[in-house]
Amino acid sequence: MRLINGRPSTTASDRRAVGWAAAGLGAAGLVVGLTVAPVDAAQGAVYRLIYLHVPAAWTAYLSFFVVLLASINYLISGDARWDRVGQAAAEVGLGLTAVTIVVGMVWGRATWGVWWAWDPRLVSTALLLLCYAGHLAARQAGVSPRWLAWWGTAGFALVPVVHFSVVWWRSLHQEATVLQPTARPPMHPLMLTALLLCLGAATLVAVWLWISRMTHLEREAAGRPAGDAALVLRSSGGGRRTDATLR
Amino acid sequence: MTSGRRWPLTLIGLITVGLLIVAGLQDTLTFYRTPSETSSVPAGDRVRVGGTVVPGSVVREGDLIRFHLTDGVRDVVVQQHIDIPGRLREGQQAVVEGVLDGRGVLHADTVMSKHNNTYEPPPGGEQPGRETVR
Repeated sequence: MRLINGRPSTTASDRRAVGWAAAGLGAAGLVVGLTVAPVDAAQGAVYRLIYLHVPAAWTAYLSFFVVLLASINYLISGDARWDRVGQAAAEVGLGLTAVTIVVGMVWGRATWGVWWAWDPRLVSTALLLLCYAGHLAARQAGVSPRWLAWWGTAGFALVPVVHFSVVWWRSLHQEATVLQPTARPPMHPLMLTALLLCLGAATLVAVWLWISRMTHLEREAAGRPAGDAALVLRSSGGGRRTDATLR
Repeated sequence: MTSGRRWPLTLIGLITVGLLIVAGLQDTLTFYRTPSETSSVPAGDRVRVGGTVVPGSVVREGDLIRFHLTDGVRDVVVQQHIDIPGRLREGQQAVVEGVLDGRGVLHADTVMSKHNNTYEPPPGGEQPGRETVR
């Protein structure tokens, strides 16, 4: 990390460090999850999708939390940088939510017998996806950063709804295993170890994605072309608008 | 809104409204009834029932499978065609969807096996417990 214009910013070596840490932790998690952890009594080997599904869901929630913080900070300070933080985190969160749903559908087809069910967990997760897809689409449509910040703040209300949907209403999806009020999660120690490794890895992957995307957005905002091109080509037609026309 | 493409936002808005409507029609917030609650459901109605598969109740009769679903108070007899995907596990929960006939038998076209939140290896051995019927 270093200061650019008085603000903290990540360097390429920071990103590499996070990337390597994510890869290492991810490799460890997958090895333990796919080979060391035993099969499940009820589900057999297909439960191993948990090592992708749960980490994706968790990091999606985390990303949307970052969107919440960035949105609040933008509303308070008006600093465009917070808008870019919110954008990067919203995009990553959206992708992770999509991964959660797709992996969940495969898992559901294998264990429940159906690709989809209109139960509260699945429907609320789909709403979460649509909420932040809408957020992105609104940005494309030219909605102001201020409105987007309100959207990013309000949208986070969906996260506890998704998480507690299996407790508040009858559902097909089972209740949480790790985030339970009981002292010990009802999970075999090796399975839990693998899951925690994968959760750590996914968090680092999310961090890496946030800061990589942020770097790209910062470069765009600074007027330089994204990426380290030796030749700088500026076309007048599709080029950036000058500050005078930006709102 | 200023310049920029607006149709993705409109499309997402329409999909969201559609999702909410379908979720409402599909009784998302009361995803299933218990067997006790089926007594108030008229014959011929489509219903989703959730309960535990009574051990020993699963019987195959040609193309059909019959089993009992219980909530500890009342049983519902469920009948399904053998080709319906999914695996029933005796003693585990299931949610079935179908039409109740006049005799209180649920003709299910969708059978979903619930599984709980515990993850444990099968006791003593590599193979997962094969209590499945299909």
